[in-house]
Amino acid sequence: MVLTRRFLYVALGLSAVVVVFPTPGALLGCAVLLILLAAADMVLAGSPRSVRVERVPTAGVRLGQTTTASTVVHQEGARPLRGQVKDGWQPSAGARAQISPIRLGPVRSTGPGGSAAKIQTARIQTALRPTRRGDLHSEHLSLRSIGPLGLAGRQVTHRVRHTLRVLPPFHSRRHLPSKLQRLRELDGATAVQIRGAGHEFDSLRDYVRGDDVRSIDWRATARRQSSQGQHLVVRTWRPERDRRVIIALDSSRTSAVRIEDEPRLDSGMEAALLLGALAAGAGDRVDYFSFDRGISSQARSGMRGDLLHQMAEAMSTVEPRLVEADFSQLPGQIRAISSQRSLLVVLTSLDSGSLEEGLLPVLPALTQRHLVVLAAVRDPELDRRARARETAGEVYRAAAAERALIEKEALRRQLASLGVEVVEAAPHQLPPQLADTYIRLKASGRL
Amino acid sequence: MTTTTATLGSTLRSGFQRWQFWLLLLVLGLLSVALIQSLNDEDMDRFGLQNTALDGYAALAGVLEDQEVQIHSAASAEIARDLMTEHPEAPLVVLSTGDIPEAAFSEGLRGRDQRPVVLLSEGPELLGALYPEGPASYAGNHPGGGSSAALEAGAQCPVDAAVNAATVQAPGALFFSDAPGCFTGFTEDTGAAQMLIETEAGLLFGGPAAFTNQNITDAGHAALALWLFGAEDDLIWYTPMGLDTLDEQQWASPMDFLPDWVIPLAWWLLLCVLVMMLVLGRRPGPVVGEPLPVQVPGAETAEGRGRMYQSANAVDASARTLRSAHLIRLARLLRLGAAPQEASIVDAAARQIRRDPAQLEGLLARQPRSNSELVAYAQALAQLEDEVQRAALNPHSLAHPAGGARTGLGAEQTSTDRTHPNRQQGKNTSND
Repeated sequence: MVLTRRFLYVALGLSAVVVVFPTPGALLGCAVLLILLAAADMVLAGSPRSVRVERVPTAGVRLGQTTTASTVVHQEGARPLRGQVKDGWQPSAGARAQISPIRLGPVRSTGPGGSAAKIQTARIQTALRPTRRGDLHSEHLSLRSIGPLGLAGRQVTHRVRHTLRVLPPFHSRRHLPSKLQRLRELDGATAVQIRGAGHEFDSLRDYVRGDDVRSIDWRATARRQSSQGQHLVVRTWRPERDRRVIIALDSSRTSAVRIEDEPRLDSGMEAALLLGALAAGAGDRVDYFSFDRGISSQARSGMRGDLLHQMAEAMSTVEPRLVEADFSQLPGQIRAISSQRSLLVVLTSLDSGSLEEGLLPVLPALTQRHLVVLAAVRDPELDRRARARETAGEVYRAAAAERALIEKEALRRQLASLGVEVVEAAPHQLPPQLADTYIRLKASGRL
Repeated sequence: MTTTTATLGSTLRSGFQRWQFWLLLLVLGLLSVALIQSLNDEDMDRFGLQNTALDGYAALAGVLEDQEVQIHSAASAEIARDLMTEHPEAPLVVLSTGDIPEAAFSEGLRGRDQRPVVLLSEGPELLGALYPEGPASYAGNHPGGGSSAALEAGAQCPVDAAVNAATVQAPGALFFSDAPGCFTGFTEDTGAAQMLIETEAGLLFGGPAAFTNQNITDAGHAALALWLFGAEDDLIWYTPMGLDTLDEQQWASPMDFLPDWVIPLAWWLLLCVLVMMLVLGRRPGPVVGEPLPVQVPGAETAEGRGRMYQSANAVDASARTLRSAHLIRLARLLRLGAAPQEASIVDAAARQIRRDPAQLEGLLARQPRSNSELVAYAQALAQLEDEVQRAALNPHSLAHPAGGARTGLGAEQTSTDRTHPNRQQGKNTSND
């Protein structure tokens, strides 16, 4: 049952009758009149139950973008339906106007037999601006049907789920053009410093200062002798293509830590997306997975469709879980993905507790077969605290922050001694720095 | 139509929002004034015993108190009767400021016992209530005060108090009486009449204004007051209020004055409120929940550890940690390799900033004992690092190493010296 504001105004208007005829009888009469009006309106209202709600699938949207969710309401009742409809989007979906008016005509029979019925439909459109990543839902659609007098009506909630997938924002996209440009410059333009069997000869070009002298091709130089003088010629090598890049994103308890304005997991996603896009652009095969106690999401460049989209789709529903990461499964998972030497990028935290007990024991097995890069978000708050030295309280906190930094430093050294490349940067710096590390490794032929 | 309403509504809303602060201030001001008024229990009644204004009796009450006369105030006849029973000897003062005592009390006054009674009234009401038909009657008003002549007690005055007071010079009422009275005055219409007369109910004095704070020191007012009221240790002071004269039947309900339709309308509006609750309280759909993700503030561990250090006063541990942290950073700044000796770090740093290594060693070896020492130590370490950093960024400091710093040349020194040109060269190369 629903009473409208108009009903309230009518009730207030009837107080004039009460003033003119101040008897209990008049009072009762007014009340009965109101009840009768409301009951009649309720009965005459179109049934909100005899409709069919159809949710139109909505394409995924990146966080920060706007979209529109559509729902079609099909009339199946005999009476016209007039009222309001409310789409029950969760608050983080950012629905602008959740309540919208609806007007549906009755189902009319067109032929004498009445078999061919014309079904009236209404399309409800809700503008959404999501504020959170993941699958956002509207669990129900509430339909309020108001009677012809506009005094009362009926309300029914149809539990039909609508889902909107919100992908990570990928703010670090802006770094992509410049990094791709650097890759292109690298492609055949650099005299690589390490010669290996797997390096593909690309071309010959004039020597410029800074080139490795070992890459001078003396035979070609001899051929280029001319009257102007001597031209040194160097061989250039095309960086390897079709290497494997495996990105492992830690979604365990340490990823729930919020640094600056976003959780560590989201910073890791940004870095993974940029690296994935870059590596795919460089012609490498990219595999992505996130893990805590097991694999929680996965994407690979072999799959159909754009890799970046695949990764974003896979990441969108990953949330930090308050469990310890099981690094012992990591070698097995990597082995299942690729048996050949790969660049393994582990996006986790430089947290001595979780790393010393979890990752360090399995690292030798990984570094033996793969090139391992550990990327972690650095907390600028620790640096700020370490610098504050005004009061005793600040100094104690500075000491605690310094202690954390010393532990991190010790861990970095330990990792470096195991042959692991460590990239540690502030949240917004991590994606470009990881991309730079990738380009550097690629340029130096270590991939 | 709808647009107009919306515009009007929004105009009102925005107007309200603009003036919200001032409206709030106004309402608060009014409320505080009302509160102050309601909390103010100062006696403002005319002839009130606590009233310190010109028309009050506070001076009289104070003097009587000094004379060890205890005044028992009664605001109603009921209280007055109780007090009279409690103090059978105490004189009774009935002060009328327009209101009269209830009939039974007046009756009791007429058939009074030996208790002295003083009736104070500046109008005809009290006398009218006691003796509607003589033997005494109201004669008129005496202007009194200011330039008008003082009233003499008169030769025939039978009241000692009046004789001792001799004169009064106050406005008030004059009465006719068969018996001789005191303070004879003349009204314009009726001729001679007295301000103080003796009745069966007691002495009736028509000039209560004589005892006010303003007039008590004039003429013989003070003497009259002391004679009238200061005879006994207790004094019952009864001031009739309007409530006394109302019978229970006379009590009127405010409802009687309301129009007939108010009660039905109130009921109807109550019903409307219920309807409004139903209208506004009806949700347009079920409540929607938001599953919130887990998030932990970043520096939580460091914060907790810092608090623990502080609560345990861990000066030593904190100093050690700070020292190690700075040494590690200095080693990195000075490019001394992976795990340099402390002595080599000190030497290199001292050379860099051209200070005596012993001085730096002293600084690093300092062991703070209190919080203030720890703060000073931490600041000194930070300053040292800043200096080294500045020197490392400034190439001139490398070009002219100080002679003093060379005194303790060791293996580390030469290795460090060798590092510098390399670094310089490396820089040049990269700049090319």
